[in-house]
Amino acid sequence: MSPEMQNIVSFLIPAYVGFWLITFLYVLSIRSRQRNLEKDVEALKKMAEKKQSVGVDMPAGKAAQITKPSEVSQV
Amino acid sequence: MARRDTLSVVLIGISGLLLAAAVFFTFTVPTAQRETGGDVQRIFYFHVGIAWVAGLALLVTFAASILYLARGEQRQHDIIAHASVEIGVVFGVMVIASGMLWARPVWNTWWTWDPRLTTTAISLFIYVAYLMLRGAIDDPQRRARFAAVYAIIFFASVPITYFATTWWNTIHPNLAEGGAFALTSSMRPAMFLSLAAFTLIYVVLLRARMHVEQTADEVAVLKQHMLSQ
Repeated sequence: MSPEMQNIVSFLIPAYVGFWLITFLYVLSIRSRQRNLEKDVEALKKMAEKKQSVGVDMPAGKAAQITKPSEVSQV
Repeated sequence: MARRDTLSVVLIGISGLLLAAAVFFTFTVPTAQRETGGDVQRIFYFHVGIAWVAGLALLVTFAASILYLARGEQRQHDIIAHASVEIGVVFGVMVIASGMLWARPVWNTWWTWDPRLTTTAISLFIYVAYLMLRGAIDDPQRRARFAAVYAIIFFASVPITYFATTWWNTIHPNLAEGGAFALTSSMRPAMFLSLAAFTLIYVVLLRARMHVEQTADEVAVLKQHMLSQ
């Protein structure tokens, strides 16, 4: 393999592949965060509806446990 | 929501087409001169495009931070500033990585403490610190105010990075001065298509990232509502 070709294989192609890989991972991270938050919104809306239909307040201890968005979907 | 998605799909489609055209021109322009690395010089087209987006993202953060402080601390401006910094940092990492891949065969080293490289690395660390410090402040209003002041003060690192090749003696190519890296007419289509494609990619990412922040706000409001009932 000529030195020029070796440079293309060793540096030019990894540069392009690396760019797409990082961009793809970043898009996946945005998508995953968005999905988790949408799940949280759904869960909170359901909880609010449930509370309204039953007419009973959520126990104070349970409400205090909800501190992070990621925890809401598990409640 | 549907209109938002349609616009995103259109923007992604256009940026995809522009990027495909840019890649085509990148690999079909005549081989560059030996002193710029021969075929490896083709990294330059997207290295510059990525660097442009990183700079643009930080400029948008700077402008949004000024607007946040000047126009009654509107949350929307803080959302833009925060979302844009994150994209700036991701592209900043790619600028350094692509630069290192070009430097290895041309300078025979992955990294050197050249003024342009050093100021780029310092700028990147400044904005990584911005994201970390934001995460450390609980009160949303205090966090946004602090972030806006920080972004305005430390934006100085961006023009310093840009002018590093002019102000100091550096081995980094200076496009403005020309020389071996002067933009010839055959290089222009690839260069400008790259810049346009990466700018559109930035817009798509910014919209998506802002949407995440807006949904997070919705969660916070719902939680507040639940707790106050």
